[in-house]
Amino acid sequence: MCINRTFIRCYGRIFLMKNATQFLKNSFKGGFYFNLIEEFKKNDRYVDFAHETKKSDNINEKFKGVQVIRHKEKNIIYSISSHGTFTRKLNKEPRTSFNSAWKPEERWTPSTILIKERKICRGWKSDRSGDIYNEVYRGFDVKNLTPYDEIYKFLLKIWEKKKNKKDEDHPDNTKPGKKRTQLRQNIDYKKIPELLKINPKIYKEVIDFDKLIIDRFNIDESDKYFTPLFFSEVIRNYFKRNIDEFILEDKK
Amino acid sequence: MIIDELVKVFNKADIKIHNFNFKNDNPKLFWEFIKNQTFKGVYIFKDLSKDGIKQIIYVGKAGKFIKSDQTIRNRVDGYLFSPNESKNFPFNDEMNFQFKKFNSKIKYTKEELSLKRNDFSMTTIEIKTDETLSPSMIESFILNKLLKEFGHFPTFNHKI
Repeated sequence: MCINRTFIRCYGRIFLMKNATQFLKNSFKGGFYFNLIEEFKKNDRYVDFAHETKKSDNINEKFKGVQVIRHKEKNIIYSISSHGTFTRKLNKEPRTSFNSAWKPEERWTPSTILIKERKICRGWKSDRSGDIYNEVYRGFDVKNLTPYDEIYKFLLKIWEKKKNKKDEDHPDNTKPGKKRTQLRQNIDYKKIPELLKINPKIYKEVIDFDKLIIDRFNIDESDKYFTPLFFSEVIRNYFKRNIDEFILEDKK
Repeated sequence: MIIDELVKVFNKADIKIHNFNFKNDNPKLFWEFIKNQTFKGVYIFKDLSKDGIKQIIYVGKAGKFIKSDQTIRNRVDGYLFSPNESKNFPFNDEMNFQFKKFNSKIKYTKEELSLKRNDFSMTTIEIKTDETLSPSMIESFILNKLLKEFGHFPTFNHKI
């Protein structure tokens, strides 16, 4: 059964979220996910982000809540992610606001969202794709760690910027394997769209927003019932339990 | 209270609750208890000197949604001193129960990590089935309830 047919079947069913326990119980019922979308829509707390990017160029990229990326026609769930956690300060006091208003697209691995290009990219292989990035933008041959002086200078800068400097992380003390990892990790995500144009194979799969639905459930600090993490875990378990109906590509 | 709710949501085929405290048990039985936690699930450390829900000082998880080798027994080992590290393990020289560390950047003092032995209690939630519910979901459920319904952030948890 395709997602949209399931959606129609469940549309209009009364779905109450009294508290976390009720929410958990409901997740064991059929049609849970699409009822959830309806419930959030009613409360103006739901956005199909892929659709939204079509309507306006002025997109607020900051997002607090849970995001589910799925195929429009096939029952494939590409990712389920939570955005916003309560943490502790170093003085042990709990923070009352989320640690940071994270932009979900500000990462390139293992997948990324390119909002302006309206694409999601999946399957970044750090050795292959990271090496292409380093070669194109930095002129480094990561496998052979050359030119040595340039790489040394670059790694030294990374070390100097660190708040918590440890001697073992200084480029004088790191082994070639660690140097390669650092080079592959310190990539400017803003350059990814450009690199993708030159080397489309840096990702295993690139999917256009027009083929996707990106469900965004807005959950901020003041939400009465949910933390984003719990909400996303319940959804992930629901999809995992219903593998006859959904293909879950998110491997968490 | 939260665990009672969990028991109501799931049936006995899915989860089982185990408890330990030193009040009635011989300290040696603690290691027997730990040794027997050979299943995936969630573990809760409690400080019984506190009131009500505040007794919960840490919630952690072991294992995955699918069948996995990680058990509560091998996860919990990292929080406790081994015989090589403390002759009175799990107690310190003052014969109080003492945690070794928590997975957090935050540093705790010896005093913060110590409890009078009879104040320590541990509850584990055994997940008996595979591919029904994940330990991380149960862990996040408990932490979510504690924070949103009771305004309680367990002392040694760093992230909710």
